[in-house]
Amino acid sequence: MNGEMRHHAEALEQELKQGEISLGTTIIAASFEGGVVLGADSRTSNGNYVANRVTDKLTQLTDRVFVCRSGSAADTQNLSMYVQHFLHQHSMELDTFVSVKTAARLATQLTYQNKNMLQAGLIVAGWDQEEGGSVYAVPLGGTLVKVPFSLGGSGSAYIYGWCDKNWRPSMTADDCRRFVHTAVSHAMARDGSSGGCIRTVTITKDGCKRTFTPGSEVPLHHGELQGAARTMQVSA
Amino acid sequence: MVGFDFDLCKRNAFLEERGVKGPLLTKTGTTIAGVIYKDGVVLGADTRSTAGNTVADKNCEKIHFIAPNIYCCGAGTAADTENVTGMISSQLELHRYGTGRQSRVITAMTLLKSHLFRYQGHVSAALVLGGVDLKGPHLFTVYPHGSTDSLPYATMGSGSLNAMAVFESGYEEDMSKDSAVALVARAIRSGIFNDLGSGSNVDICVITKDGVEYKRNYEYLQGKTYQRKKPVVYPRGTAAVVKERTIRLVDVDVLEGDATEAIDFRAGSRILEGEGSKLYEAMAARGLAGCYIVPIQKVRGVKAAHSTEFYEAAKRMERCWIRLLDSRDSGFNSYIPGGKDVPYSSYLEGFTGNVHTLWNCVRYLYSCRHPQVE
Repeated sequence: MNGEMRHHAEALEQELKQGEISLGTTIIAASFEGGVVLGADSRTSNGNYVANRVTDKLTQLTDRVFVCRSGSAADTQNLSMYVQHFLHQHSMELDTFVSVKTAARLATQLTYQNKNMLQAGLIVAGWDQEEGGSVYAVPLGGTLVKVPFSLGGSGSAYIYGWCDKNWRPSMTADDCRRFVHTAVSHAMARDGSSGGCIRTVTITKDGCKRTFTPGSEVPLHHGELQGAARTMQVSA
Repeated sequence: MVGFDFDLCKRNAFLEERGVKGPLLTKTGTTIAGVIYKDGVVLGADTRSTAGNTVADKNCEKIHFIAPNIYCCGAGTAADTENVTGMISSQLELHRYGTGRQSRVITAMTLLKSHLFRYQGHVSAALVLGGVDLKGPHLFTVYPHGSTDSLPYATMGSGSLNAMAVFESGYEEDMSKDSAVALVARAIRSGIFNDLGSGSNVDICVITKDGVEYKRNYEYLQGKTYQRKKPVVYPRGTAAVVKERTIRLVDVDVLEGDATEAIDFRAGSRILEGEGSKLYEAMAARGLAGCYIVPIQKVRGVKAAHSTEFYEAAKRMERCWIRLLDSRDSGFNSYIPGGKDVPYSSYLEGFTGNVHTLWNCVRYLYSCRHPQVE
């Protein structure tokens, strides 16, 4: 790449990043016996500013498939819209539930084909007839990996060790939700770009169940105080 | 060709490197905000628009119409916010004709985010979108790159931090209309007073299921300190009379109306008061040949040949009558001795205002009869 081109590319890169809203994030999805649990914090930031403190980063793709979004808010929202659209068409042609693998494959194809345009780290997870509960990681470059559990976003770095230690292959739905909840709360405690509330979705063959934990009820960790600001949190 | 052309970006980057300054965009360094309350949504905006450090407009409108039940506050490049809201508003109107249903706020939001995402942040419109539809009140923020948030209270623009501080301390669920309006006004005011990019006045828009109250300049914080006198009126006699001259129109027969009034052409407007058309009608009823002169204001682009025709005709006249119409009169044809009807506009090339027209016509007709005068 010659100098002029590099200059141009750098200018473009800066332009893309400048002012773009990002989900400095903690996201997680974990499978258990008969389903999956997805979890996320609720912080959306614009530089130093929290643009939204009650964000929903868990987006429904189909009846039994959700996606955890991290990276650029614009990219992941619009990517999800496209995935929803194509999966909806596909499910009508198929006349049955779409499998998690299909949803994940579609998400990877879109991320991989547009990898130089997008900044999107996704975790696709859900339940289907063939595989039961399953988790697919779709990181930035657009590869597709099936994993028992996956972490994503800036906050994930703080909790890999904890998750590796505490994840068990055959948890109950409740245990798994507690695992996800605690993991996210630890990440939020250490990562400046994660925070706010905790949202989870539990997906089984019977359907999807959401939980919401307001900031005032997020468990406290080492060195944290039950401050006035925390008790004042407006429930949203 | 739809979309942007980036061909000149490289050239511009090169020029900028050499120290050439590009043109400034008019930005709305802005405070805009919105709140959901018990019965609907309140939107608010300041009214300053800036180009660099200069205030480009002291009282601009930043709350844009989207649909009868949806409005949108815009921050960012003024041209972009105005046009993007206009385009989406038009798409929604067509959609309403197609579906026969009220527009939904989420539809507006999706159209906006898809458009903005397509242009990858180059359309710099940061919006607060609010409205009431069949599902109730909705409030969204839309960022230039195409991301959206659904929130109970939202702020945008350079003054968003100031406004958000007010919301975070003052927001309550299910507020009354009055306290919601007061809160939004307070949030905008905090932007106006503490953010350099925001200023001037507060606009408010209240949307409920029963309709919209658009309160333009709800708080008129920085009104004008003077009033420009417009138009400037000079009293009669301000200009000195240098020379006076009276021409007796001996050959003009007045068949009806006050003779002095018709003849006194210096009075200009008075002679135009309708007497002329009666004159003509009386004239035509008696089968007399004649010519009447018509205004004036709307005459443009007449071919020279026509006016010559008229002059020639006028010269052949035995006697002439003058018909004077005011600008409201819609007489289309004039009668020329010799029997031909020609559109009146043909005759009056070169005549421009009322008094002058009158003067020129009279003088011309007079000179036809008496070439020695002037």
